Amino acid sequence: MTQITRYDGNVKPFADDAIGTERTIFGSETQNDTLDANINANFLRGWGIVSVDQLPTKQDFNGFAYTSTALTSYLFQMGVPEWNDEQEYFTGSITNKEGTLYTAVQANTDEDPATDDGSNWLPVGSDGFDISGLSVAGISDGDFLPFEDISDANKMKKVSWATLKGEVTTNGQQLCKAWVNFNGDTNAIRDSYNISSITDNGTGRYFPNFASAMPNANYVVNLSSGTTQNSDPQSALGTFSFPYTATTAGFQVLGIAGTVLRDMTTMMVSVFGD
Amino acid sequence: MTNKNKKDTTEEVIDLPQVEKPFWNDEIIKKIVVFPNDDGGVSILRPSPRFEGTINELAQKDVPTGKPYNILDAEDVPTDRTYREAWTADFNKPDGRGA
Repeated sequence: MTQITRYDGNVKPFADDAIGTERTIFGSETQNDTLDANINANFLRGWGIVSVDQLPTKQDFNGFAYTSTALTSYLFQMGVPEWNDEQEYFTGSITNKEGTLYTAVQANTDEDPATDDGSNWLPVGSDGFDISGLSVAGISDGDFLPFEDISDANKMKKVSWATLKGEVTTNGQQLCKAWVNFNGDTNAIRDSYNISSITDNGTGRYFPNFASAMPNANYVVNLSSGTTQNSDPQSALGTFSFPYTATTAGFQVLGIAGTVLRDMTTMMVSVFGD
Repeated sequence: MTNKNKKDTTEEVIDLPQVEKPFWNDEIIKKIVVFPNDDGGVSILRPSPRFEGTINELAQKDVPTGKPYNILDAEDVPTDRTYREAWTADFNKPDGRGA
């Protein structure tokens, strides 16, 4: 059999446009468009409702064809039939519960997949991976994978490669928010990140300005400094000049041999915070 | 739970994204901003070459609000800082004020 080309339009049941009682419920004289009304005892018995030597009516033919093709139309609408507590399901059956697809892991009836503990239903695609199998080909960063230890076994959790590999994850708190390396003599910035400028307020007094302000002033500043002159101290003591703010981290440098402010040829600053 | 879809044990090689070269502004570092500080001296604002904007935009952002400022060539700043605290500048005709 060759592949059937999809009908280019809205798939409707046979006799959907029937007027009045041109189409009736199979074995009845009333008209109704719902499957619940049309799939009745007569429909399930079939033409046995017609006595020998009787002819089925046009309305009955319409009703029969309408009900049969309405089921097909429903499938075109839903893709996967919605779960029903009276429907019999078998291993491998797929159903749709409120937009989530589930596959039956064993035959069952009246086992709601949304509340099932995993013994009858599992979300489609969730039964083939073991989180310990990190070498499984095809898993990509951000894939949805099931975990055995999550509270709701029917749910899947989006995981990152860092989680899969057991790495320490970053939430931003661990990252350096700003840094700068500059010459304290000329105040020329050698390189920086999130620092727009250095304000030179005098000998040994510098105020790095954040390009993007910190969310608050509860950040940490690390300072280090040095000079290339062998006769001078090779390092200096950095101290804060209060107040420092979310937009400016002020500090000053003291010569290590005393309390005299002095410029250092190499100033290095890093800032951590929210 | 068994691994039904296990196909091979080859560890997947992750291609790291190409990191864009950070912005570098050669022009802005040729300028400085001078403004009076609260100690009676002058402060000198040195731009970062990473700043993505003009020197005037930087001055507006980093000079304290209301303070007058002048934009000068960086090479005009004295290299001898022996008397750094004695430096002065004329702010009678400022190029702008901190925003």
